[in-house]
Amino acid sequence: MKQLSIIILLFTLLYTQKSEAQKLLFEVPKLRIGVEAGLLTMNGDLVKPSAIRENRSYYYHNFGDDFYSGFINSRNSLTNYYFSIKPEWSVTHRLTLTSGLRLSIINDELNSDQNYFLWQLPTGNSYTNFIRINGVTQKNFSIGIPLELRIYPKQMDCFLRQYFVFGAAFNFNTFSKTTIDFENPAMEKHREDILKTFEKPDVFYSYYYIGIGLKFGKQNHPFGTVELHFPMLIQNNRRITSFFKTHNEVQVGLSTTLYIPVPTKHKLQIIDYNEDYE
Amino acid sequence: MKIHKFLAVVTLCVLIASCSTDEPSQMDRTVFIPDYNDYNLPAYTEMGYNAFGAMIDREYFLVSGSIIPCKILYKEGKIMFMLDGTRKNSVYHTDSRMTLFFYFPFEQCSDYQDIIKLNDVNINLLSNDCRVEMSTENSEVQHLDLIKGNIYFKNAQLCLIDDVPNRVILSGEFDFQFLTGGELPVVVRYGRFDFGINNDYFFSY
Repeated sequence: MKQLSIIILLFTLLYTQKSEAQKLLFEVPKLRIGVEAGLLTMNGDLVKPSAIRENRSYYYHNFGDDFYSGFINSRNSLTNYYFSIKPEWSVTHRLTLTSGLRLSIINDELNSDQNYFLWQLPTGNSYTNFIRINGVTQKNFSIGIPLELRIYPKQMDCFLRQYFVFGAAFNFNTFSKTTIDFENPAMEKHREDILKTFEKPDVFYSYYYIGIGLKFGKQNHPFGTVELHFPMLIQNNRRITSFFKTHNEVQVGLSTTLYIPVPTKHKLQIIDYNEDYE
Repeated sequence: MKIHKFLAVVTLCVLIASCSTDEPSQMDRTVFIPDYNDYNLPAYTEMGYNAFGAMIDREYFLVSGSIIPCKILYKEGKIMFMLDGTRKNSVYHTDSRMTLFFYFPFEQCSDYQDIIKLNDVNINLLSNDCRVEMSTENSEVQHLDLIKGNIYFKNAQLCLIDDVPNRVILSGEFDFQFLTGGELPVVVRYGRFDFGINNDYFFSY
């Protein structure tokens, strides 16, 4: 009899526990919309237009004291800023898929270490014409499609939840805006002639990355993420701007996203273990 | 009061005028772009980089940042084309100043813009009235006993800066052989030059 009482008590306890767990079970929409802002460095080389007259000697190892060393503002990286709208779909508790549209902006510029540099216009036989230019600025806009897979090592949806991300972005250069700042404003008349000589950026470029991220908030409410993308690999030898070509060196990126759940009939059942056990 | 206003206007005009005629100092610099095949020599260019170079046997005769590399003098129907720089021994790292003078007859040149006429002109240095002289730090000017020699002005173009004539870009190549006092032949080869010449570097009288 005593044994029977103990068994009944255990069943009662188990039943109570089960009903408590069922109370904590809730559903979240599988679909959410993300609004993202991020940046990444793009390593590469300045491609100096041949029309620019050198204003300094190249490094000259034997007789360096006699000559200037250096070059027009050489640099080896550009920053790509992007903004995305990307729906995310929870496949399972631990796996999400994301895609959408990404607008990328890359600024590039040519400057001299002095007040201006000299740009050689297409010339005639008996003369050559140099135009003094203070700087050239180019803004490139591209539309891209990001594809991302996120894997959460832990199933429970804590307020802070870490994850891994595997991603790629396929970008299409849509338009460029180039401004030329002339030393002598009267030389504006040559603007079109100079613009015609610029190489056009490549239409397509892509990059691939893995990274780690941290989610702030719970999936049944708006939540945010911060991601560090490393390593990133960008497609090699792509002319990103008129004056810059990429290298496929390891690069780094950073992004932050705000997700807002979208109510749909597709739900994911979530047990909030945090509330359960805290 | 009117006088003050007038003076202010005149001062302003002078300032504006002086700004607009500001000559680009970049054009007066020596810019050394190494040759792809021999980085001790400047590459052949036609941009007015104020550089020259040549090999004298196995030494180098090169432009120097501290010496005006070229001067041109027109006198009595002859051009004196002067290359001034340093002779460098790359093994012993010794430098000594050296100057080459090319003399050849040419049509009247009274202004720097007249040297455009040198475009695509090839001078055989063994011709009558041509001569080459050399001076070094420790010796007087010596007339070279040429075996053969040539100087070719490949390109002579008027250079405009912002549509205003600024100088003439003069580029070309030279090579020659000569005998020293002891009858030893010396070879000067791979000579190339690229200068921006204006009235600071061209003289005529």
